[in-house]
Amino acid sequence: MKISRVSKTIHGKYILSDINFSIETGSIIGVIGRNGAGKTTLLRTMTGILDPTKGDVTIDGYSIFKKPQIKEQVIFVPDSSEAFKNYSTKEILTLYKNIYPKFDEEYFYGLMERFSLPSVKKTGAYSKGMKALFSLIIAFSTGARYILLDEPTDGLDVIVKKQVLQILIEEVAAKDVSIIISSHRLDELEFMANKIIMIKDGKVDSLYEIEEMKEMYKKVQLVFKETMPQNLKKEVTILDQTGRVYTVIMDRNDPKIQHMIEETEPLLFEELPLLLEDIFVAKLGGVSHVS
Amino acid sequence: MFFHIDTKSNAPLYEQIIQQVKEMCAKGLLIPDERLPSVRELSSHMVINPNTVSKAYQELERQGIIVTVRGRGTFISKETDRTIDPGRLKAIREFLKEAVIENYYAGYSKKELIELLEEVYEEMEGKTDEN
Amino acid sequence: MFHKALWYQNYKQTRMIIWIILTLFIIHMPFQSVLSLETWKEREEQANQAEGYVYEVQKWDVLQIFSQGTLPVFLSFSIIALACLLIGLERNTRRNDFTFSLPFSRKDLFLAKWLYGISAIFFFHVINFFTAFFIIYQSDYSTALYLVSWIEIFWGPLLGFIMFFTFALLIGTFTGEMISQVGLTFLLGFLPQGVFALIQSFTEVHFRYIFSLPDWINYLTPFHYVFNQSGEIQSVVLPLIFTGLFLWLSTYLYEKNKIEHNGEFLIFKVLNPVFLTGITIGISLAGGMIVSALAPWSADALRVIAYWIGFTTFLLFALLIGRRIVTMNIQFYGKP
Repeated sequence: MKISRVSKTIHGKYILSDINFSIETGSIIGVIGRNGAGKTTLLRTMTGILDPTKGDVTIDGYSIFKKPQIKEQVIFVPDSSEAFKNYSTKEILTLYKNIYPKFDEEYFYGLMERFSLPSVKKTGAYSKGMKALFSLIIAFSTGARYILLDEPTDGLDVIVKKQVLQILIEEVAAKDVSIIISSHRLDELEFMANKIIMIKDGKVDSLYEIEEMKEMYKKVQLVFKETMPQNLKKEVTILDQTGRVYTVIMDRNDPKIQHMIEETEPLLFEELPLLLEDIFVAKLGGVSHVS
Repeated sequence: MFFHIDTKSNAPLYEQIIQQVKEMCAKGLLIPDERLPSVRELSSHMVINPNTVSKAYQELERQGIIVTVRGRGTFISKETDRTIDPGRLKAIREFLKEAVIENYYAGYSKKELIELLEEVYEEMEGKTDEN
Repeated sequence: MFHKALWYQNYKQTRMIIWIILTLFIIHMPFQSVLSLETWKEREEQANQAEGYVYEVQKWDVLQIFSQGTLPVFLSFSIIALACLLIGLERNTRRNDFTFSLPFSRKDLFLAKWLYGISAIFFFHVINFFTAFFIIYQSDYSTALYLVSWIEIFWGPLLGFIMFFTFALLIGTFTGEMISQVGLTFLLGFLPQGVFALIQSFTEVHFRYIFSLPDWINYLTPFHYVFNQSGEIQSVVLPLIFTGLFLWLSTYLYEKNKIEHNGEFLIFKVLNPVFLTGITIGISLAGGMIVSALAPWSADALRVIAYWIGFTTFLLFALLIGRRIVTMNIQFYGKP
């Protein structure tokens, strides 16, 4: 799946601008960005719900806008599944079987049983967690290779959330599919995703393997004799400061910064474990508003 | 299984898994020919990316700690099958060097460190004997 | 457009209104024909009792069963509702996200909706028409059927409904949600006659001059084909032409839909100034017409003054609400 030069303006405002990336199957990709960064718009454009102002989305070389049949390979699961409140479980099954020729009914019932989801007359009767599970089960049964999830764990309790994430991981482990998750829950994506797309002001700021990204940065705790020198402040991102104690993110591979710090003879210069959240803050800025 | 994610560690997750498998082998919690969970089972259980688990397993297999039998699963290999890797010896040496320095600054003597090492060995072997 | 899933979804979405339309058709034709036969019999018996009277069924009596009366009014409202449930409601809820994410082209999505509505209207009309026709045909009053032409009782209403449904769907392709679709279907459905009435009242108040209503204005008014069956060949040809034209235009617009504007008054922002200008002038002229009608008919100067007072007041209202309408956003994610 390839996203090439996609731009989208809504009400004359750029929501996405010149987005390029491609995704292969067999991975879990996290789309992260601050609220209003354009995560949902990106996912909706990738499924053809919205027309891009410029650019194209292709699967196996076919544009999803010119050849919509190719969208049998993509399924979008929105953050709330209000569309089928009045449908029974069976009716939804009939609907999806008729849309996706590769729909695997046996697999569907297998998952329903495993997560002890009952068949109901109206899916509106499902609890919030059941609805989330149900839309995932449906999505996984369609046989689509690219599964786009918008905030799949929003508002779920811990137990259901774990179930949702586990079925998601098994899906990737068992089949040749890719799951694209938009989320602001960085702690969840931390170990689950292998790639991260960061969106900032409608632009893709980076598409990296998480491990690659972690090798680029280093999180350290510093205690200076006095305050941090001004010239050093320009080189690092300060996550936190209490008195003379600083927590900063710095470039791991730049000996210059390392050297600068050593020159100030800090009282403490210690590496801390680097979390996705730290990179997020370093890349997209602003300690607050992460979630 | 007893795998866990240590968020306080600087080591990448796949290295943590490798370390934990090795530790369990050394402690005798995992014995030769014992079946390890599949990539799918372990990744789902730990809620982590399957690629991370397969990367760890690949590395463990390269080091001869585990073997994968097609269609049957992944097993702990027999100790005799373990390959001797000069690179690993070097890493151990580095590790020991660090321990020696730490030991010096903590104010213990060389003798005390060697005694400590003996103790650790006894502890591990003791566990193995119990099984 | 023949995707089974889309037909299934459309039916699920409109089940209720489809049954209402069927019921209205049954009351309109078969049920009314049975009742009419009874009425005619009763009238004939009464006429026979009185010396020198003979009862004959009139043409109007037959038209009432097939193409006139109050039921076509309700039917046209239900047809608007059907069109709104097929397009407008999707925009108010998130269902539009689902349909647009499907592996079907937008053309197919739209044509499936159109074909679905058209089939329902076609089958309901044909079945009920022939039932009613047969009921009268086998009765003592079968000769009454000679009073009317097939255009008046069959083709006119059928093609009128089909054209009107296509028209209501067309409105749905450029309005952003259900309420504006209903509103604009009524407004534009009467537009030519409405504009004519406003101009007529203007010239009448100012110059005491009354235009006569030209036929072509009627022919341009969509509602005309639903309520009025004259039996002319125009009531067959024109609905066909309009249906074709509306279908082509609506398919084109639906393919170009930017559904991020769902919930707003109009999907296509270029239409906003056109709509604002039109609605402002229209409301102002209507204001003039209404207020001038309150003045005594003989007092010329007073009527002109009243007209402009009404015009100005309504102009202010129009300016106030116009902006609000085009900037509103109605979307609900709860139960539709």
